[in-house]
Amino acid sequence: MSTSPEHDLEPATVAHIARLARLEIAPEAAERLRRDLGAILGHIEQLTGLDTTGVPPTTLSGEATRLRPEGLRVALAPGEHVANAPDHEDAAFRVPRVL
Amino acid sequence: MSIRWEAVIGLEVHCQLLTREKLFCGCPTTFGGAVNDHTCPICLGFPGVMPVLNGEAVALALTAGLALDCRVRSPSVFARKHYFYPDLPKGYQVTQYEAPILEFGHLAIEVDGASRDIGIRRIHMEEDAGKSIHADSGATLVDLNRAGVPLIEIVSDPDLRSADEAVAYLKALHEIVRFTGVCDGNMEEGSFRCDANVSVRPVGQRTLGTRTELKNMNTFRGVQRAVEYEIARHIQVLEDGGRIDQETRLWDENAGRSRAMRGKEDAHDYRYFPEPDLPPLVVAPDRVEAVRAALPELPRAIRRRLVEDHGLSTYDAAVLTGEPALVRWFDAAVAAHPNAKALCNWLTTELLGRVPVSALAACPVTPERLARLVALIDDQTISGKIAKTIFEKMLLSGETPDAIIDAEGLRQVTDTGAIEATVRAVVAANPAQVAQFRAGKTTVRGFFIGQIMRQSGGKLNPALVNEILDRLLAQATDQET
Amino acid sequence: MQHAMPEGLRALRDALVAGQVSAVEATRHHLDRIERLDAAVGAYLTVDAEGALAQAHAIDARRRAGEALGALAGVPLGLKDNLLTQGLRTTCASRMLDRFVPPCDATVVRRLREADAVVLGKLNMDEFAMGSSTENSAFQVTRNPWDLRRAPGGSSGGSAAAVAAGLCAGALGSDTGGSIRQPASFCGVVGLKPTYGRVSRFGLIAFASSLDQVGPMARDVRDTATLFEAIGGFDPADSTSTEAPMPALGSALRADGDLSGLRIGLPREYFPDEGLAPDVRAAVESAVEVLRGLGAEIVSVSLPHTQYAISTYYLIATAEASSNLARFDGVRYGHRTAAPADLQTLYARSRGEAFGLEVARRIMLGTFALSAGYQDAYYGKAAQVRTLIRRDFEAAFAQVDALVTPTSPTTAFPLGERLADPLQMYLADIFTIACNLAGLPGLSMPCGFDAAGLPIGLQLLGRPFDEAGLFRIAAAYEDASGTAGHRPREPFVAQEVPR
Repeated sequence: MSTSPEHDLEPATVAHIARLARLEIAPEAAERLRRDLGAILGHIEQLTGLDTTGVPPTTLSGEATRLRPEGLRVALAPGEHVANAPDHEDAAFRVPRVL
Repeated sequence: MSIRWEAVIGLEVHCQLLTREKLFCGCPTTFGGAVNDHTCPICLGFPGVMPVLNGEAVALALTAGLALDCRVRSPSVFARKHYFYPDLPKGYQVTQYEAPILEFGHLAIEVDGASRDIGIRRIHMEEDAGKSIHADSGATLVDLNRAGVPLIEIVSDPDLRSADEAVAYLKALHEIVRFTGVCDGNMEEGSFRCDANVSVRPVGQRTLGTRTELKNMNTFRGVQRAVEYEIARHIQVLEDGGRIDQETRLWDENAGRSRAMRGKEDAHDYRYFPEPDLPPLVVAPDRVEAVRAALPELPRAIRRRLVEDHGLSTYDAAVLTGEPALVRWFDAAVAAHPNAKALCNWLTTELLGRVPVSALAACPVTPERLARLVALIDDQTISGKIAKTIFEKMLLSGETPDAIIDAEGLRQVTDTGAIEATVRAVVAANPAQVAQFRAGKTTVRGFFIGQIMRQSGGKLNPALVNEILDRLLAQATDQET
Repeated sequence: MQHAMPEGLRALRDALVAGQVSAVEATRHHLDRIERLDAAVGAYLTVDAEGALAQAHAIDARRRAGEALGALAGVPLGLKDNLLTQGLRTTCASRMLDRFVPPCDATVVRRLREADAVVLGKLNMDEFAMGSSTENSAFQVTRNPWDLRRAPGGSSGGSAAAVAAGLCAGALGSDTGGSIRQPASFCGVVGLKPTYGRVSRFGLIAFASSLDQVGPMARDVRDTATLFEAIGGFDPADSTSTEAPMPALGSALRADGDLSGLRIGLPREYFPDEGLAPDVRAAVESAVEVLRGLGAEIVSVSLPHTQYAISTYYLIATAEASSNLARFDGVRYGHRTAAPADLQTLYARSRGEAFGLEVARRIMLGTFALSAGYQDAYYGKAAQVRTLIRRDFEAAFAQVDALVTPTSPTTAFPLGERLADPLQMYLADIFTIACNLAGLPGLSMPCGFDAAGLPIGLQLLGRPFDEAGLFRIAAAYEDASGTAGHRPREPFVAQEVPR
């Protein structure tokens, strides 16, 4: 764990998480974010003292999923799927070349 | 001294389920279609929309799993697998991770006459990604028609020991998913795709060697070559004192070699967690039994039945089970007329010589009509030779064999009196040939047969013609001496 | 004409049905008020005057033609801007979606339209519903109509302020950790967070899927119940929506003022010695006396894991948020950075530019909580503690029918006061968060004012799917206490902030 008891997150950890989240963080914001996250994680550290051995997790999504009958579709008008697209070529979404 | 090596192979097979609609929305799953035509806010990953599970997909996954002797896990749980890629609209794929719907199955394979059981570790349901197309402009274009199409991933245990076994397993699996109607098995369109995990170890060693994952094999032959190549590469590297890196490698069919995929920017950290928009998938025991009861006959059982009940050769049985449609066709024909051997010959040599399997369903020569044709041969209404003519006409005109026989007067004559009259007339009309026959030139007999058949239009029963001709020629010879 | 316009949702609906007011008049009245007053409040991000009037005209025409109309025919409403409205910009108060026009309606929006309600426009919020003051909106500040220097609460601050300021007859908000109840408390209105699964989430832009619920906000308890009846109930498009039938609220809302036979619990942990404003404590305690006077038996109960609720919530909510917000990648919709050189730049810069600080903070925390090596200790642990919190409530509800608490430890705080310290902002949600973790229904309603004249909120928590029980208590309390109907004085002004 790269969190020390003071929950002092390593800048490298912050950078790693930002990369996983695909989130560019301005250098001047990075230090503040590091301190904020450290403070929040410091508070959250209280959970480690709580014994949860054998306690099942709660996800609350429900008992059993329903199965969809056929024929339910949110219809889109022609061209509507790219109407909000920042860049598209005809009906396709366009992005910089993927290697 | 040289080490004897043993390969350890496990396969991960993705099958596109033959549902009409996508896994979590009502968009069609049909291949092709104009770019992004088969999309809606759900499979486009728009904000605010939610998934609802396709019941048909669950039924097909269960069918595949029960055909592979799996245990049904209930409840099973969908999870989110996170990574960023343009063809993955939500930034995560919905898949089953810790709790797949099916587990602990097995599949028997045969290699060199020996049968082995290969373990199926798990089968889980998941959604497919879309497609990235590289445009001439240098940009990448994203088509999400495929995004959200239902898949199952069938993961074998690392029980396979050679490329031959891997291919035998893959073919057996391919056959089962097609015979159960779970998947169309089309490898070109990507509806049946295989990745292979390969490692080697010295014979006798229990621990596994470091494995590599092979991707991008699009044919059975590609799998065979890729696995053979990779096994040889592992052995070479290890014997040279090198080390195998755990990595994903792409098979290059043209170059005949595998190469490491470009390292991803960050190591895989998919951050799986239970999909909060989907409650667990519960499958009631009676549902499992209903699917089990509705399982169609599987290819191995069909082959046994064809050989044991219908007396076909193992070769013919294998040909017929090459395609589910062929077995159905054959069974329908045999149900109409029980001469299995003749029907198999007519089907595999005559009909399939003209009509591809894919067009059988639309062919005017239906199982019932072919059965009728063979029945007419068997009851001597027509000769085998006439039958071929009738068969051609059936293909062209779409008529029944009886209609063609009646219209063209092709019914075989079996009335011995009528046949004798024709034969007698031919013999009487050709005294020179009779003289030659009498002089011992027995080959002239063929001349008489040809004449008789020509005059009768081939309708005379050939066995009776032969019998009567021989009798009359013998009489002619006796009369002379 | 304006003086004749009835106050409140049901009064307006009844006047519409009686033909005393037309839908166009009701709509114009609210559009005029928005025009005059919203410059000071800042509740609306988008006002759809044209669409609202067209809808109102159509409703009036249908009424004249004698057609049957929906239960809310002609009633002008506002919608939190995280609810999809077909053809009407939906931003989540984020730069990411500043030009996003949805191709479909949220189920709750469709139900309001089917009830023939008129949609006035979209209301401000904390960006992606992340915040407790509406100050995290990328577009504008919303001010509390009781005192323009103070926050309306959040994240449904626009909805609460609009209802309080009479800029709509009622509104929809969403509540992930108190986002309906806390702003309702700060703005002196009533807000309901329904039981998880009671109201469809289809078309609610997700913050944390296992915690989010859409809910109604209105000026009094019965108006809130009316709106709840219009939006609630099973939706096949939301796999987590319940098939349990909606409760009939008629008897719960009857004005008989009798709560005898009910046991109401006061969770000790919600009345701490420190951190609860004295005026808030006093107001809630006198509300409890009113309930006792109405015949309810008041019982002290304990919810021992309350102290872990904030930590648990911030792990689960941010983990789910980091996942839900992954789809905002600048490919199919939303902000894209100018001329990205490659795909990774497109992703990271588009997201970095378009997400505000609080959203970035939560995506980071959530990504961390789910990441390899940390998931068990953070997300996994929180999911287990969530079970303990849920069990606390199960045990309490074995003894009592409902719980009564303050909605928030304080009344509305000054704008800007808590922005510098996110942890302090998070701690402001201490009384509302556990309800979402347990999936329970919760209602906030006014129960008086503090010394500065700011509204104080009373929170009622009930058993799963017992919204009827909450409404019964709330209606009886409202009738007995006379706390409904207080409106901020117009024009809205900035009060002197003491201390």
